[in-house]
Amino acid sequence: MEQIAVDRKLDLRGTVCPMNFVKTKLALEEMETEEVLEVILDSGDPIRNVPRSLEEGHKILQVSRLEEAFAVLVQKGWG
Amino acid sequence: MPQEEIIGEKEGLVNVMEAENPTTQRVRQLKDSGYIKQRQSGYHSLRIRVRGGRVKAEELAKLAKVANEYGNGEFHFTMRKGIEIPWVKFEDLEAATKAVEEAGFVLAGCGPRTRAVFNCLGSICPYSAIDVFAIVDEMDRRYFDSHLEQNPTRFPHKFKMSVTGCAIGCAKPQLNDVGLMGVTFPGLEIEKCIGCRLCAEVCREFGSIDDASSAWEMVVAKPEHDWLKEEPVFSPDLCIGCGDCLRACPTDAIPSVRSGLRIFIGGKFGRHPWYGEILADYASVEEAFAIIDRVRDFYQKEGKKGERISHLIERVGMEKVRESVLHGLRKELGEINPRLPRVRV
Repeated sequence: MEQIAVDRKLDLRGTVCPMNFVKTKLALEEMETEEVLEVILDSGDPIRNVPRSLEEGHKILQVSRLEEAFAVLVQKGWG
Repeated sequence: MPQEEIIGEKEGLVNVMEAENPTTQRVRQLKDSGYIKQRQSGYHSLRIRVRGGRVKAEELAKLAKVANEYGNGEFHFTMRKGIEIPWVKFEDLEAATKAVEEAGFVLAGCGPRTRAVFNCLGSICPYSAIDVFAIVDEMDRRYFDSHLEQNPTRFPHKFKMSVTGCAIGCAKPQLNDVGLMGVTFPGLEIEKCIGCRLCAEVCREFGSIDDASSAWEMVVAKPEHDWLKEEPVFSPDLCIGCGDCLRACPTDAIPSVRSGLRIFIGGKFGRHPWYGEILADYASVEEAFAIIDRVRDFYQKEGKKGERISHLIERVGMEKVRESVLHGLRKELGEINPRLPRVRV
């Protein structure tokens, strides 16, 4: 997979829904458009729901599997 | 006294009814009309139908007045989304009924008839594949309301229906005489795919201990999909139509290409639970109503008194039911994926 430069990282392992989504949104709000956030989400409900919810307004660039979690690269959208 | 209390619940109702005395007959008639006798002598609980499980706050406020005036100020919420007002004195039943009707409600009776249709929150729940409220309201109007008429259709036994928006099945379609479940079938727009493998990760329906396969699997990408290392492939036989992949896909690469209703028949709970059989799959709403009409006809004609649809199926065989109910309809409706989850007794 291509190497994408990450501007900010957020490890949300152990953070349950919907707070993981809230924290991700808040982090993105503090970032500049087109910057990339790496958010680490637990498998199960967090990875089922959070990337899809971020799709409104942002762009999911990549999802890669860690051991019991996933690293999601999100690019901040306009707006 | 104890006999009075259990009489309406008896599976072999007809035999008991023939022998019943005027008191037990009265209790049954009251129960059929929605007055449930309490174990406390002289008190009844008024069972009120709530269409689609949705009630306006101001309507509830009107019912609250009834509960305060004629009951003990409490509501009980029934398993079929109805509201009961308990502790109504026998001599108040008429006045309380009038007050309930003035509040805009009808009583939900028991007995061998269509019971209140019940449902999940599928018109607002993110998991749902269908407009549950529209369907349940129409079913309730067509099938429950007809029992409010002077000489309602009688069935051999009770007839329960439910509608649920997705394969999770909160409204338990498998445990109703007829249950509808919204299902959705995924497609793939590969040009939108980023190879993130979430579809394969979330697809779990056949991922049980003895079967780890899932409908989406990641394989080495085809040369023409050169932006991907791996790409998802789909095995329709392993899909139960839950829509998890559609919801998980972060790039909208998985659209719903087909949605419809999976129709279960013959489910029940009670002393001898039965898990409904799948009668049809991916039916349109119109087709579902046609099928329900036929099931009702079949049950009315072929069912013996006191027999639920589950017993009827057991007696005549599912094949006969399928033939009678589905003949002449689109044949794909009856083509049920044998790998769909089901429980056999």
